[in-house]
Amino acid sequence: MKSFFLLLAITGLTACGAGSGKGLNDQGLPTSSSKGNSSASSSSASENAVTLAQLQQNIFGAICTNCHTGANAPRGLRLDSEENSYAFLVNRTADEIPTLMRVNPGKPDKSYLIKKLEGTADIVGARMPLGGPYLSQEQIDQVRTWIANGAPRNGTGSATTKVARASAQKSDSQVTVDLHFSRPLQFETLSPESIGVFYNNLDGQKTAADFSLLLIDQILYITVSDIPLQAIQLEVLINNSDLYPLLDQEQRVFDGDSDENQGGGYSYVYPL
Amino acid sequence: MFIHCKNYFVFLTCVMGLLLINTAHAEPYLAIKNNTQCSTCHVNPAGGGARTTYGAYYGTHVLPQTAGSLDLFDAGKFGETLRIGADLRTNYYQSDRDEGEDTRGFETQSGQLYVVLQPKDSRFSLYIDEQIAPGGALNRETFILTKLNGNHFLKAGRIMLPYGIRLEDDSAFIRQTSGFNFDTGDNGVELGLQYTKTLFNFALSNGSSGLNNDDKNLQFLSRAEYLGNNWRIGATALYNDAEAGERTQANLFGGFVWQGFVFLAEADLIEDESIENIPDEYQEQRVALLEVNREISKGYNIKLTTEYLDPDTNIDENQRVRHSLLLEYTPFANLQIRGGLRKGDDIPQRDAGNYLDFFAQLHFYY
Repeated sequence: MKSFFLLLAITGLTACGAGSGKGLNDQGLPTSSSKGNSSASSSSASENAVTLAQLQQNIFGAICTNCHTGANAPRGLRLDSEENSYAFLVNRTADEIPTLMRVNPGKPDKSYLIKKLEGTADIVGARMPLGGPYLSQEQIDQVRTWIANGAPRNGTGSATTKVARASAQKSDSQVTVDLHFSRPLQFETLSPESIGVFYNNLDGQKTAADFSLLLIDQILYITVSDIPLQAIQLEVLINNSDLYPLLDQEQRVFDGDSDENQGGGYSYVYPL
Repeated sequence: MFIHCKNYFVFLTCVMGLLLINTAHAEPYLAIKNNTQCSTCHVNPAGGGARTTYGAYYGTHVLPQTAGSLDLFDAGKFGETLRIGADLRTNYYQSDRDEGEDTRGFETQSGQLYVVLQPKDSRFSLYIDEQIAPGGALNRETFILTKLNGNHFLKAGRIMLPYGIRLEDDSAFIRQTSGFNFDTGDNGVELGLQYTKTLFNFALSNGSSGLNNDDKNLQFLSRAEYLGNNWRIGATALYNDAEAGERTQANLFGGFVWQGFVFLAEADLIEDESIENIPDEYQEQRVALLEVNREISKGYNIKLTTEYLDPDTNIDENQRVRHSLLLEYTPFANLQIRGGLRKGDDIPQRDAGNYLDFFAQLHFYY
């Protein structure tokens, strides 16, 4: 009898499989249920930018609501609908670090949500999603892009075009800098005359002549070769007074200093 | 062939079948294996965190393959009034997804420091459980523990409510959906009535997951657990009277030892009136966990876990499952090496739930 119950119990639980997902969307909700959300494939998505509706469908609603849902949502942060995600994220103080907003429109690097998703050293508590699996960099960049574009409630917003994330990798004698823009750039305005690359060493700053540019969607890859041994920093400049301005696909000047006005110099420094 | 546990009767049968078997023990598996209350090894009667002298002894002399020195045994006591403890878990992880980008890397999962201040000749003590890594400090629990008559106790402060089985894995479905994990302590009070075979818990808290109360309403919890001879069974009921919508939760949990295998199980039913995925239908979730442990030789434990989640019973074909196979090796006192695989199966269009994870973990405990 004991073995029978044991077998019954184990069979019962282990035989449970995942649902077929028939008639459901990416969040596991019926496709006919709008739940107050906008269409994730709104016309503004054709700009190749990110909308809150898309984030709700692919990230907040599909992943974060494993915990952040309902009346007992952790930290009072409900992400179970587009309305709630906006209301509980944008311009709301981060209770773990009250000097930061959960989402600071236009400033992904100063948004606590990004820090928690990336697990930066200055967060309080654990990286999210708690216990993992963590979001891929591509998914985090979608959130970054939305924030850099002003964290609009609807559509992709009218905020200026900025760098949503910058990073660099060093290999052998070259460094590749990745600049992820919040909107697509106008390819024709991109040239060695619109991007400045410099080495900083103890004697001052020197221009790097040997670099290449590659633009794929919203990401600009700048590969710098033959880096001098004495160089201690690599610096990338955009939009400063000696360079041609960079334009986005709406003919607006790239917002280098993220002040929500077109223009302004951008600088990225990578310690060698 | 897979079947879907939409039928609540089947769901309940899965768990009740486990709990009705003779010779059982309960969670986490060491408490079940040794047929004892959590308070035998932990200062916090709810389990987890700072260890008692016996808990420290068990971790250094019973659990490891090579026991520590009795002459140098150290339970973290500094005199009669101060006790400290710590845990640090550091991981290598690798996540392969059916769709999208794979991820891998090293991480410090969590580091805790425990401090217990027990003034001489006092029934009151101060308990602090502070997460110190990664990132800035996060207080998990800080409360005043008052010893009442017998083994009864009263806790007041920031507490992790004693909801069901207190698993270490915060990513387990029963932890995620219930909202009770080590990251979301709540402010309130808890009364524990602890008898030889039975433990009753009653708690009153904000119901705001660690924040100041956002309305005038509170959260109520009651829990009961009975220890038999190598088995245990328990139940929890919770009611959160939130203005956003009432939330009710209930579970059955238990465990037993059979032929050297240690089983534990929990089944939860959660209804939240603040969420309507279907018009005019409140969200109702069903969750279940079954875990089997087996010590294959001194210092080695194999853990097999299977989990089930129906995120809304009003919606068909949306169930998720997760299976884990772990090996825990404790070669020496204070150090455990864990590693294993976790496989998530979800509806095909939900990429985040379809993955295969591998992790290896170094766990220092004191």
